[in-house]
Amino acid sequence: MKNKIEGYFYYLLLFFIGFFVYRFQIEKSFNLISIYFLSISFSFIAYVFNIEVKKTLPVLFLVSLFWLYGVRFEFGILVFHPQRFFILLAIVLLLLLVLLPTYSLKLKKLWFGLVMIGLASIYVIQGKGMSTFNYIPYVIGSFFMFRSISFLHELKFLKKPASLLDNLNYFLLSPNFSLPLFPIVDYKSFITSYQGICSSTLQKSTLFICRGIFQLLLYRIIYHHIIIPINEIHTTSQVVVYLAANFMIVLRVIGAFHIAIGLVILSGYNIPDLFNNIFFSTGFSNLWRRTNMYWKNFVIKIFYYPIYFKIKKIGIYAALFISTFICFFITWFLHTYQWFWIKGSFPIDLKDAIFWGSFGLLVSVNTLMQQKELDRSGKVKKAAPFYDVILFSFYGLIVFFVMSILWSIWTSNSLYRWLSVIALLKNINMHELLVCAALATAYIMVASVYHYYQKFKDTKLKSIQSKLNLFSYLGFIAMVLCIYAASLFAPSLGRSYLGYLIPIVDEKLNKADLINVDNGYYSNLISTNDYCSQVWQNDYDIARKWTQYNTMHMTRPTNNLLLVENIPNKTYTFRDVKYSMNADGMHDKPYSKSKPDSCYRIIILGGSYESGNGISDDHDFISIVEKQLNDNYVAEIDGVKKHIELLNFSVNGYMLMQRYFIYSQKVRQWNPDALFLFIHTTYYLRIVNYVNRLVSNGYEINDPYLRYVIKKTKISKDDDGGAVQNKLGYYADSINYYAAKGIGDIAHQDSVNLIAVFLPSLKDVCGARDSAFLHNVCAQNKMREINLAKVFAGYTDEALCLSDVDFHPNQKANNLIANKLLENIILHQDYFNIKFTKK
Amino acid sequence: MNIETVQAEIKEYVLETIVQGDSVVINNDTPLISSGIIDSISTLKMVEFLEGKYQIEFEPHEVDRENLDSVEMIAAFVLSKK
Repeated sequence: MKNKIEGYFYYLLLFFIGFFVYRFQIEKSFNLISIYFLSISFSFIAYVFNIEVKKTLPVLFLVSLFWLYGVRFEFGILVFHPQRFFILLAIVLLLLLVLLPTYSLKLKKLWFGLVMIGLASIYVIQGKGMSTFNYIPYVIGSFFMFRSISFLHELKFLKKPASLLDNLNYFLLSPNFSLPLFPIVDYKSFITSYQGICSSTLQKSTLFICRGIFQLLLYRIIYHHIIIPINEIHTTSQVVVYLAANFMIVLRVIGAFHIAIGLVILSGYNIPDLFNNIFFSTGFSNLWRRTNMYWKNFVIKIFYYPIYFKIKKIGIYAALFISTFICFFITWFLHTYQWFWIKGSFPIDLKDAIFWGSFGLLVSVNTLMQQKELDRSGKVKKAAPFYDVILFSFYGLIVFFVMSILWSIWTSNSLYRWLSVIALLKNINMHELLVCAALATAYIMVASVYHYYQKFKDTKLKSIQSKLNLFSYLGFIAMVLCIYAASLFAPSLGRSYLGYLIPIVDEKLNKADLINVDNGYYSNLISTNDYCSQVWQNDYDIARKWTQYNTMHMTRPTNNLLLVENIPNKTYTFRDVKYSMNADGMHDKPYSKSKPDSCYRIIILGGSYESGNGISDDHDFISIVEKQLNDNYVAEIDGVKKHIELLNFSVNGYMLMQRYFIYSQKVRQWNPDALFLFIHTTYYLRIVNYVNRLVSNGYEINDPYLRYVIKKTKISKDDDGGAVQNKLGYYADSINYYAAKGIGDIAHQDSVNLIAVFLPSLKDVCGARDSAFLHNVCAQNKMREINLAKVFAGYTDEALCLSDVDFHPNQKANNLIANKLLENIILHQDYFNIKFTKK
Repeated sequence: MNIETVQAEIKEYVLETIVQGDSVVINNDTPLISSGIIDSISTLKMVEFLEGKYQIEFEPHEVDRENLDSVEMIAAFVLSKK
């Protein structure tokens, strides 16, 4: 580089940008911040000491590997962690591809096939649990799944073989560790692109990284503030916004890819850009050309051209159409192949077929039409006097709208839910029409500026364009950070309009996804195919760093209306937290079924909160309250002292219906004096999941009301969650009321003091509704009421959740609940017909 | 057949069929594929033209930037196939 100072400036900028990556927690789950600083540091050292940067990349790879997968020293000895050892072994095995002599291409292919099949077998056998080996195929898969194909394909045709170092560097792209969904870098383009560290690579790299961060911030704004939860969509304009916003969150992939490419360029390989403003595409084939160009080039090179050349005798138009269409089916398959390596599942879904089939058809027809027009008129409109700019924008609007619809199908929870949203489009009126027209006009105006600028930049601004872009991105990022900082220094402002920015600074789920998670739509680990959803990352975090109750195997299926029950005498330890069941399947200490005369027995009917998920035995709030009541208070009934027992019959995930069933079938025999029925938020949503599981498993419905509702609403085994929710309608509430009444009737029959306890959920998405539910239930069933609505006041959810991916109450929250519950028990001792006196 | 003639014929094809009056200057070394002047479909059309005009046959892997990225590269490749 002529001016070394310029290089230092870019490195300074890159280190500064690293602060954004850190503060905005960009791809935090995948440790991007570590890889980012490692990559920059290696590049910087090479730059300062004039080392050829590509020579440092294998070392960077090894350091990244050790950094991310743990170097453990025990007694001064380096311990070979099995996970790291197997990752290294698999990488070495696959790198033999590079080391084997070129003439034995068949041997290379066979070798590659065998190793990948071996890895896939480990993946399938291990399943998606929390096994030590779970991440080996993920890591290896994302490094090798496509690059090996490109490598093996090109090897045969290379005029000049690449150096061993270039070959190694091609496979060992460290940013891939933090970005599992990685662009398919073309082998030939990669090995011929090396320029080392120079002004253009540094500038381009900085630009791409800034652009990526900018796009990820835009994604978060859309994700948190524009996307509307499906159950809150009522008007036509809301449907339009929902469709557009869902399409625009593809910015998450675009942003991540730009950061990935930026980091690769920083290592001296000047590979090209891979997206080109897809929201302004002027046709479907134009969109295909602008979207993930690496993927498109990969498909064209490996599949499209060979297919086309095989069938071109049938005529160019037919050959173009057929080849294009087939390639979309291949693309569909390759996406599934990709998900297999990243997530361990091989999802084949009707929604995928609709998306790729329709997109393929649109691109094929569009390509054909363009070619016919080209041949007929001898002219394709490329750009632009003013009229053409408007016309392009109008075409863009059509493409945007159609793609939004296709995208919304692809990413919807279920086709039924999607159809129920689309059906709202027919409720259009003049006001809605005007709102939609305004949105369309806004798009056309922005797109027109873009198309005009595209024409303009080629002439006057080209030389300074990338610098302008760079500083625009930087300005935006800095602005977000400054406003966020201001909100921290002025908390009152932070809660008002500045608070608008807070959710986008951290990785968090939006309201729609919180509802979906709570509703059980994402009940399987890493179940979503949609990388654009934050849930994907949330699931990944759970799989990687956390365990949830349902992965501890503390419950077993019952094949009846309970669905599951606790497994007696089962113990599980996670992160030094011991969690165990007694012989009667309670998460509690042992009790005798026959109640001693000196005992006052309170039964707890609850779900996961009351089960003490993630809390050590005897440290959940139920155990704390029991201990404090007996240690600190004297309990008397008519002058006779009583020992208080709190028997915890809570089971993770139990709805009111299950509590009603367990009460009538099992708990009643324990002769309680009182019963705490815990009520939380989100019951309305969860009942849908319960009924869905009941019907889809084909269990016998031996409750008369439940049988009546299922028959009346015509819910069938084939219905998905969306369909069940729509069919249940107001019956969802009625089932909850029915269950509460059932519990109330038994309690009154047995002369049990029944107390409903309202405990709000952390990450609450619909609290007001369920708080009202408590009052109604209590009023209708003569229950006593303890309302702990303000128990978490003064604390953020983050301070009280088990982790950033598990929203159950942590120890601190359990202590808060225990204190508040104890206070209320003492305050309302008349509910129990008992007198408490402080010892 | 010399290279200048082939270059001239290819340049004429590119200007008339692909660029078609747009204000793009095409020199013998102007990047065609990497600059986006011709896309994958236009490349196939050009291959069809080259196969017909010079009685050569392309293999799928030869439809590549390495062979077709500029007028001079295309001409050299065509002559190497003759």
